[in-house]
Amino acid sequence: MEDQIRRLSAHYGWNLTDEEVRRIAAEALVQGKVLERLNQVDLAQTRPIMGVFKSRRATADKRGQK
Amino acid sequence: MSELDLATTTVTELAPLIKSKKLSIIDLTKQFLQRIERYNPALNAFQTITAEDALKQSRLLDRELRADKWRGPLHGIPFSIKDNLAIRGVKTTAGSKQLADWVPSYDATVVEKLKSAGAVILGKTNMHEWASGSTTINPYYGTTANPWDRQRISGGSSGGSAASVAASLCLGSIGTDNAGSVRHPASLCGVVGLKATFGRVSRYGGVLGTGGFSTDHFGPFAKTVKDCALMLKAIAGHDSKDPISSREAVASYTSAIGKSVKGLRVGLINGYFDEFMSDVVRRAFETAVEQLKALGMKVVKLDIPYTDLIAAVQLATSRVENVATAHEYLRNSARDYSAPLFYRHIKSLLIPADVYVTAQRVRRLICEAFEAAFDKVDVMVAPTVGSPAQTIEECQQGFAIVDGKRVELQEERGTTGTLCTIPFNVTGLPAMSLCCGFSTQGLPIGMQIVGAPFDEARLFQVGHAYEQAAGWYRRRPKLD
Repeated sequence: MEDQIRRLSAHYGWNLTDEEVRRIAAEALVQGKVLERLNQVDLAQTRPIMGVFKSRRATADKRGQK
Repeated sequence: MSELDLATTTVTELAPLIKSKKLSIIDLTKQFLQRIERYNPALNAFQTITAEDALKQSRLLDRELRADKWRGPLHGIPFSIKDNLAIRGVKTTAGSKQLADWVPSYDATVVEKLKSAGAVILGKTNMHEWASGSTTINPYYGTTANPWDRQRISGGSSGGSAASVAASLCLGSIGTDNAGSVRHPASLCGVVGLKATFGRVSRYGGVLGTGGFSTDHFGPFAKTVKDCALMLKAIAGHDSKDPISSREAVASYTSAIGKSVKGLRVGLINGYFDEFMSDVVRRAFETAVEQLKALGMKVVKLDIPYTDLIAAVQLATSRVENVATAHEYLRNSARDYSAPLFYRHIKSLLIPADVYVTAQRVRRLICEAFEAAFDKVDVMVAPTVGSPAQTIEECQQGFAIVDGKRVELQEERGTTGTLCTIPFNVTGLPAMSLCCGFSTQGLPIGMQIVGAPFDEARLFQVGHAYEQAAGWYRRRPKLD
């Protein structure tokens, strides 16, 4: 993780200090643990939402018929 | 009109007075500008005051009235606008150092629509830096104080908008809500704040980088539910400049107001919100549910799967979408971000593409689960924020003591204060916060009413019925 951050720092020209790199890496590890939970779901039959709004219209139309 | 009247008046009360020419718009504007001059130095709700433009517009609107041209209920009403929404010729900073001197040459569509409806815009309101937090403690433009207790935060990121309405420095405002940034400060300041269905309100003219493409919404603040409905009517609708805006017809949002809610089903979501509620919020929320039952609504308990993954989906989605617009700043002026936001952007760059896509797959499951729940209920209710407003000092130290326990204000899932609001950014469902009580210290507590897609009229129906029965909206902060 620290190497990745150093590469980004070099790419963008941030000149991050070692202390900053260590701090961001530690926080990124915590973030990674939160995101890891997404992989615990069985998504074999699930496609990503690509057009949030379109699915909402269909539902609203259906409800409008009540 | 006396100072006391200004403190309590609403759009609904003033509109007929303006229409019948019993109230001059220029006089009204001058009185609100005087009120801003008097109270804004202590509150820091407004960041830019556009007095000259407001007076010019007021004279024009008065002339129109004299010619019997009345644009509608917002004709001559004073509003404020969050500082990440473009107003032509007015500095628009997004609470950032990078945009400190940016003056747009165009209006955001919500601004254009409000102006067309006859609004008088008094200025731009302070906000959390780049709308990326919920305190409105801004390192460049200062802290917006809560009108109910100036030692406390106003919430955020639209803290200035909420405070400006709560303190009656204007009668309505427009904010943006990527994780709760309208509803959170509305709750802490005791006003009504609405995030309509995703796509209901155009987002053209919002500053890029102040919200995720698929999680951000623009919405109104008002003192009452009816005022909020009048504002939504003015700003909703398809916009060719925003391809994501919906073509769904705009409803008559005030027509359901005043109708009985007897027999309507109100859903309570088991589990998710329990963890976040302090004792005082729990008591206020439970009392509010009892009042809804007393109005004849039927309570339905709901088990909704995948709610434990909402925070991860929100984090992966909004942060990746947000940082995708920040490359120019990261390359040229990264150190002009506050350190916490700069570090957050770096962490966002470390989220792999496959995690973003996985989040959108999980998001589909969450959206389907919530939409299925609406087969069983007409609305859902939930607390807006787990605790009343924290002190500015608590926010600066990063934790608060709630019910005798230490609560971190930033945790691994995100900002603690927005964990109750993010389910409706992930799902895009319409959600409105309104006051449901006060703590023993006199701080407002908020409740969300959530509807099915494009069913904002139902939110207004239930919200108005509750508001009139509970009467909290009559209580205003003492500013002197």
